[in-house]
Amino acid sequence: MGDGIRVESDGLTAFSGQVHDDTARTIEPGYSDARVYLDSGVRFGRNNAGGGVQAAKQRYAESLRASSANIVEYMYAARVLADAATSVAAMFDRTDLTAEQRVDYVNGALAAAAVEVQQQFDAAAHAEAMDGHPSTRRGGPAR
Amino acid sequence: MVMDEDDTLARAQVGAWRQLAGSVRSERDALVAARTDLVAVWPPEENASAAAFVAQLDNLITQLETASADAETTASGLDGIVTALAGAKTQIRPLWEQYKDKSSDLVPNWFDRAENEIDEQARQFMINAERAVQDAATLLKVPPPFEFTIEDVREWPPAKGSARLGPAGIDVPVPHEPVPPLPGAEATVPDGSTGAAVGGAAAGAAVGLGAGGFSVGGAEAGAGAGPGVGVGPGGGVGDRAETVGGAGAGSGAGGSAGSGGDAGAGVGPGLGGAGASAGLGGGAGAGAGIAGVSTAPAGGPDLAGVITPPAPSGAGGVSPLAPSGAGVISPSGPSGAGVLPAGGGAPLPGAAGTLPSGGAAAVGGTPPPAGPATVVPGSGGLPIVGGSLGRPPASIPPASIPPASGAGRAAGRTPLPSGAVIGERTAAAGGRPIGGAAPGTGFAGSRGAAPGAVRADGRVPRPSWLPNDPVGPERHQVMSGGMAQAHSASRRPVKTDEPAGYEAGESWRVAEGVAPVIAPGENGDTHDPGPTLIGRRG
Repeated sequence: MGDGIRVESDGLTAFSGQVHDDTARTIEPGYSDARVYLDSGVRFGRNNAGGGVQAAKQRYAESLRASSANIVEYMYAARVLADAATSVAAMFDRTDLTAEQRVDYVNGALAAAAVEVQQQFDAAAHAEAMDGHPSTRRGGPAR
Repeated sequence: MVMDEDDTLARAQVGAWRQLAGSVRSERDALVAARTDLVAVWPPEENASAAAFVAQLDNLITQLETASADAETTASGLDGIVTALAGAKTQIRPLWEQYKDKSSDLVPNWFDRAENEIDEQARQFMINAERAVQDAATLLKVPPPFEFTIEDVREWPPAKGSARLGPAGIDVPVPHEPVPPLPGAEATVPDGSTGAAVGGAAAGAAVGLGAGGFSVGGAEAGAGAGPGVGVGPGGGVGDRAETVGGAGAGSGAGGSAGSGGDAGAGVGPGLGGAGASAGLGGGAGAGAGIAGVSTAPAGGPDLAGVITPPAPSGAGGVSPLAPSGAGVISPSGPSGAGVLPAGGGAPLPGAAGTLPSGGAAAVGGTPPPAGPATVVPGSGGLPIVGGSLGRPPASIPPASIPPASGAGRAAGRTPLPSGAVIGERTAAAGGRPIGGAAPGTGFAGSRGAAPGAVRADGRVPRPSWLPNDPVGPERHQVMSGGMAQAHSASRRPVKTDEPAGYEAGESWRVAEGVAPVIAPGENGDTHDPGPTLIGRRG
């Protein structure tokens, strides 16, 4: 294994740790805090019969749904990238692949990390359903 | 309508959106920094595997950048909406105070229209607020769904491509509990921009009965509305002087609807003798009525009445015919627009010429020809005249023609209050009927007063959705306590659980008794208290 490969694996490992830390420090607590207020839904125009206000309420509800869903996806995507980087770094340390094989492995590692994150989410959701309220938890998957 | 605006949580949501935007931006900046470190040791230009990995990272960074900007924009839009509605609340609050003062002063609304002016101001504030809301709503961003997709995945390591990773976002319902629509107004404008007003179902009814003169049946539009019955002078007003004179028994079930609040009124030409009169315009004649459905023109958001029913926008002239309100009475029974509630109307004492189909009926829809009136034989063998009405005959002084609400309003005359029926007004005021030779009696809203009806004191009833604040000069005392409380304390206490119309201590009247739960035994047992213990002698 050449020095270049070693540098790649170290860099990937550092990247993984940095992304995990940044995600846990920035977007996840930010989204969790924002949800305290955003979960209350549409808070204007309840008794307003105007069509313009009604349209605004519908659009706001749609914005809330789409934006929050995407934020969750971003958090998970960041976790997937971090996990994939860890996996790729481990592979680089163990094997000596061709360039094409390494590309395949990277893509496969990303997909595998995505599956793993989804499984982590399912486990976290199950745990929340058993013993906790989701609003008191952080937005990231159980690790 | 705006009473509950300026919610603190709505303001907090603005801050939450901004906080979220900042968090996303921080995540994006962190990823950019991590990417810089990564490409330094794993340059994508030299490693295809690095290029594949960094491509995914770049995609996420771009998405985060867009999401941060969208969240900031959405926060601005929400702030604009909340500010606009809160501003409307601030502007309308003093108007509401004025309205309460005006609604309890000595001058009724139909005389000075003071409440209407206040309502018009409030409407303008709401229109402005709604425009601001519409402008701000364009800032609410609805991003396309993001999916973390991995392409070109081979068999090793075994994995599948991914779509949505996490749970769904915040899915909230859209609260929509608008205030009940006021008479003559639609509750909601669906598209929120054109404000087209569409007339609703006919409502309200009036029956006129009398001798000589003419009867006016017409209730201003009201959503819901029970049939009102007014007995007034009979007679006729017509383009061709259909008035035959004599004692005309007329009945007109007035009813129309229109979000603009205007409605036609019925003027029934009476026939001689015991003939029945016909109601025209907005009124659907019970005996011979022509219902009208008026459609208010579009123009601006329909706010369903901010404070009180809007003033009918009737055109000048005596002709009571609404544009689409007139009709031709058919002997086959009800037809056309303007549906009278089943069983509506009232039997006409002495009115031999009621509708052929019997009872109250809704008639109308087809505009009558401008020529002679249509004569329909009544069930009593007497003709019923229903026809187009236009100018009053010269024999009838214009002053005796009551102004009809809606399209048939007489210009320059004191309009009837909303939903007023001549007979009702006469009866309530205890005076003479308007425009009638014979006094009549009547009442409106026999089954639940029509929303458009006025109270006995001639004032517009307070809409049910308005706050139950005290009105009148005493309300200030009530608010400040003191005199008002002392005054109320000196009154006889009112038990709210008592049925209406019952006095305290009075036995409740019930329709029939109920089976007793506890009853004395039937075996004739007697109770022996035993010997006397205290003061027993010998």
